[in-house]
Amino acid sequence: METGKNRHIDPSVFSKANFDNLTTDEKIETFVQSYRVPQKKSKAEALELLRSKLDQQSIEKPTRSLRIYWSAAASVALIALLTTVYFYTASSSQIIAGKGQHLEYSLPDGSEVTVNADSKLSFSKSGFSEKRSLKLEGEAYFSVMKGNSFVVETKLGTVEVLGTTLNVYARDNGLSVSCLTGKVKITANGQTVIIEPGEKAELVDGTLKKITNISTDQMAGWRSGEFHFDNITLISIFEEIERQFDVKITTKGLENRFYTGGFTNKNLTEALEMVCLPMQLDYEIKNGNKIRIEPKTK
Amino acid sequence: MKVLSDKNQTETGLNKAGFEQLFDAYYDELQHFIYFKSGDTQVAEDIVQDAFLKVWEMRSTVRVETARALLYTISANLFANRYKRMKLNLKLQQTIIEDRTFETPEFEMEIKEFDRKLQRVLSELNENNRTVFLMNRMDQMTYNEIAANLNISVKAVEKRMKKALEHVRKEIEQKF
Repeated sequence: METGKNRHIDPSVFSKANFDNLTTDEKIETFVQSYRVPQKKSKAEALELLRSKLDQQSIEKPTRSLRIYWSAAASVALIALLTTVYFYTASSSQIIAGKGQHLEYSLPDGSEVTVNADSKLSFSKSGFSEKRSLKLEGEAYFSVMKGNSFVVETKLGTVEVLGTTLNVYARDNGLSVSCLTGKVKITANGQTVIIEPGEKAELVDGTLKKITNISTDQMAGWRSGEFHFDNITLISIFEEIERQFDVKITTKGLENRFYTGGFTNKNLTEALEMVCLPMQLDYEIKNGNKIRIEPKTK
Repeated sequence: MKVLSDKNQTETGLNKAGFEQLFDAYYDELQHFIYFKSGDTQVAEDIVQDAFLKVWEMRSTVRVETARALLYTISANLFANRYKRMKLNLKLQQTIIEDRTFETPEFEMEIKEFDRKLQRVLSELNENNRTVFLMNRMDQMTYNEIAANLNISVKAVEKRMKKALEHVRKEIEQKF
């Protein structure tokens, strides 16, 4: 019987010759022992978060002021780009993420939100714990504390959270809501849809559609700087790149072309390559922030 | 694997310090546990946060010597209740590949290819088999520890280990 205490092979010493000599079991053993589970936040950050939740539980009225902190993943990618725009008045709060920014906040009820680039979230601070209602223009990821209803109003429709984590995309070109945990109710154009984990609701040409079987990694990958798209117009992809890098993109001849794939927001050239290469496009960067994109000429 | 000291063993009820000791001792392995099930770091971290919150809510009745198994049970239940079975895609960090120069590009490709296939095969394993296999091989937990944490028999752990290893071995040999 296997005990899990097999011969340990130091991976730093194996060469091509001795790798080939390992049995399948030894290869598997060596590889599996060398794996590390990825973590978004360190244990210390997780403890900090847990402590803040415990504090909120023990104080009856959680009237803590808005707190800014960065997630580990986002800070690595973005800290150089960021300046914080933060408006605050006694009764109402606005969280505005400029282009090239991701902002992470704790709401007064302990819920957490990450606001994507070029997005605005506003809510009334007084009485938020009783009536949890927010207005969103842009895109945000919510991790909602249990409690009474949590409502996100957008120009195109209303999203009511019946559970815990979800991603809301509400820009001029559409409304898209994905559910990571719990249940979410979306109302738009007089239609209502309830979605569950792994599902997404999209407003397409005035009709609210439910899409199933979506990986949670893709739903809010933007929080860790990874953007995924499934059959989305190239124009919208370049709009997202404009928001993430604060650049101006002009395109020619890309109408009615669709893209499935992604980009990361760590490096502009890399992001452009990731989209342009497979789609046979040429790009030209002028003055660092103006970009022209058109199909490759034969 | 860190285990809490024995001196508190018969006490019922947790204070804040005791609670944070639990967190320090078991946070990582629980995050790994749900990651092995879900392949999603965000899901794993959210679930483990909520599991600790639940244990805090019931702190007056928690006994230190059963707290670890309790945390596993709560995490597993939260995961089962909230998430439908989704096709998962493990993205473990392979430390063999990091900080290493390879003799030839071909060898580097061979190693990366092996890593990719192994992660795919692990992702395709049955959830229970995969979880037990990785708890043992990655986190170096003994069969007894796993059995106690998951509240299953040592025989069941052996069975899952055997199934996991047989499947991984077969698939890897086929895919090369």
